[in-house]
Amino acid sequence: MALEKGRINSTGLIMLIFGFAVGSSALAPSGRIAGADAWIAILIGIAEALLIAAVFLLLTKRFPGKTLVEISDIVYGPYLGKIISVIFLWYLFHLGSLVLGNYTGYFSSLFLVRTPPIVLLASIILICVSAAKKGIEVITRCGVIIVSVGLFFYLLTTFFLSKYFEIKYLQPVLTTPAPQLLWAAHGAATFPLAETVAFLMVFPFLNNKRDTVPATFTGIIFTGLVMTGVAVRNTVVLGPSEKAYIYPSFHAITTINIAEIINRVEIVASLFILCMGFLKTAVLLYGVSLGTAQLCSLRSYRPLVVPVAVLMSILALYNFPNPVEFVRFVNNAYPVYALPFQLVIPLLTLIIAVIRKTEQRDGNSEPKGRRPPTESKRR
Amino acid sequence: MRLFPTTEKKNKKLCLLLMSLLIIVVLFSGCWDWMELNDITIISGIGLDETEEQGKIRLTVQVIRPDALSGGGGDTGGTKGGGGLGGDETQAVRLLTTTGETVFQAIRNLGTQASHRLFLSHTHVVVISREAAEKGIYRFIDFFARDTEPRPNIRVLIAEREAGEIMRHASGVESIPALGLYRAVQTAALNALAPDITLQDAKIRLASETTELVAPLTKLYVEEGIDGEKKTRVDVAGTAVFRGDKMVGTLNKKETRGLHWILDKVKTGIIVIEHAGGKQSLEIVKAESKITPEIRDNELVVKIKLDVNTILGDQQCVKILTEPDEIALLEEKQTAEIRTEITGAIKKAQELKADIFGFGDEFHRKYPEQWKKLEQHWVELFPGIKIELEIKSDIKGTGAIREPVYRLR
Repeated sequence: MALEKGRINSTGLIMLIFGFAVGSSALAPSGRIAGADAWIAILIGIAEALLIAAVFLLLTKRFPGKTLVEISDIVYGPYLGKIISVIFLWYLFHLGSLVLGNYTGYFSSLFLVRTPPIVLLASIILICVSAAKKGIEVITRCGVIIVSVGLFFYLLTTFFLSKYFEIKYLQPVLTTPAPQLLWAAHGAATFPLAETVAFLMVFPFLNNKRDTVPATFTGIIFTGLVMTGVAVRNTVVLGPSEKAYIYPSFHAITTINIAEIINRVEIVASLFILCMGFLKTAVLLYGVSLGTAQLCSLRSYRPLVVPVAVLMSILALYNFPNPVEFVRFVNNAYPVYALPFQLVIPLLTLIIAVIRKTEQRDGNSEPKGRRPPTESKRR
Repeated sequence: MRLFPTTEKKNKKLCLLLMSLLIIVVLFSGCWDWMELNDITIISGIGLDETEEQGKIRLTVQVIRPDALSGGGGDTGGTKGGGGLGGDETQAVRLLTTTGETVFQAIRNLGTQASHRLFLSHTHVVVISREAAEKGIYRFIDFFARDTEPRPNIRVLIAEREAGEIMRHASGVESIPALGLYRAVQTAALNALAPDITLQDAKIRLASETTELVAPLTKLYVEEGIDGEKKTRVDVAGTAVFRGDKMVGTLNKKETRGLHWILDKVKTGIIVIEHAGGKQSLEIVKAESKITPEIRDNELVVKIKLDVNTILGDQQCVKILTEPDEIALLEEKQTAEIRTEITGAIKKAQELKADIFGFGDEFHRKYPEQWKKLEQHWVELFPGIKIELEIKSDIKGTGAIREPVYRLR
């Protein structure tokens, strides 16, 4: 029952994590509640995200080669395990629809105002369907190219913006009251850094399982640093007006005007961000399809991709009435809503796995039904 | 029936590829927002006035006529006149006027006169009349902040009388007057004659807690042309000072340069001093300023340190001024002149109770704890700030000659 034959290497995983995380944070930068101290909030958020990641990484280390759906089956047993898997898959599904809705809102309100949003949505989701059907290896390869070029472009735009930097806008430093700062940090941790919990559906396909932890940590730290850079850049370019914008990165890049020749580059930057969004949606779509196929013990996940995509699109259209509501959800509700999925489920699974002393070292498939605890001597 | 003469499988693939390419071509050229150059009216300059009727806005726009700019066919607006019509520059633009209750509505009301869909991404300047600015400028700015078509580097200007008449007349040597005005503001700012305020700068100043908005002033003047014919053209000089979003006063030429000295924005300019029976001009080649706020036993003090380098550009007396003690005297007079300009600007701003220099923000940065108490009363505290000036001005050169070419007989 090999649902996925592709394999990805650790560099691919790092870049995929980066594209995945940037895919959301570029359009709804984290830590804005902290104002000019957003960059500090993000740095704290990286630490918190690493702690959350440690939990689900421990889980995947314990069960290498198994996705979360398979792990819950083993740990909780066939009935409860399926319920837990469904809950987790719902999180991925909802996240996918949030990302889709975010991108549609972004392009709809800034660029293609008259175009019906469903057309934009369809354009994105069609490519994601094609990528998800081809498997995680293809998605990762796309990711490597997109992230490499995208990073270069990000550095380029930052370089062009440097003449507009006013470092004094970062001052006074650390004057945000602690509760606000910590809430912003928590927001940065849950959106988007700790969303890498979705990769519990991807880790089994890593070439060398020993790379899982270093690659994920590297991915999270690297993404966090780039997000910090973006927060700093937006603050020093936009100053006090930053809090008025729905999409501050857009307005920051719009100010680039070198000798009246290099200007209007915000559309190119937006295209790269769109590619990151594609990566994220493709991974989520893939995760949900694969998970559902495993849940139902199907031979292949591919037939599920299109139906899941359609459902995701419909949800995306109806999630929020306007982008302002979406941002409010991200700032206020999401940090709490996401925690059960990012932290509680992996933690619970890990604890129960340890208690039941279930371990998988060689990737043998387990018979269905309750099993007696097994002692494994290999460490 | 097969579309391509290959195997069944390949045919299917190629058909799908063709279909997706066609969809992409159709959809991605802008979808429903697809705009053909022939279908749009490019607005290059906007003038906003109050009408005699209460609460309505008069909009005067300069609209580019692409056919008048290049030989024929739609070239994009914003380029200087190529071949085509030389001669009368104002033929490259048309003027349209409407009224509306809000800026957005007024722009849309242009639809009947414009015959095409309006396009704002090539707008270069927005001119607002003084009268309207005194009543509150934000109701005009909000549209430009919210809509994504106008670019953030639009220059914002205040017209001394009527914005419409500024739009009606030529400026600079461009064939598109609004573009000329756009360049004129930048040139004026280079010489510290008027501040160069983009829409982005205006947004930042308006969003700031204590720093007030400034804007360049523009007015008409009469120029005598080559054949003695009189032409009315547009000039940019002076600063409009705001408190909140209402205009409260102006800065004259000297005070404007004072503002620039403090903001570290002087790039070049001429300082004229009187010495040895004549006037000498010193050209500024470098000017750097540093502002340091200090709270000294409950008194607010701002220390401004200025470092200026100039070159002797021209002298009216025939005395040889390149001796060290003469240079020292000139430097003293130069420093005194700079000091006058700076204190003039600060005095005027303090009179108007408008912190246009960003002193409030500097205190916020250095004393965040005390700032919490200072912030609410800043409008009252600002006039009481003591200024300590430390000006270091050096004359670094005298041009090509070291003594006047004229020998006294």
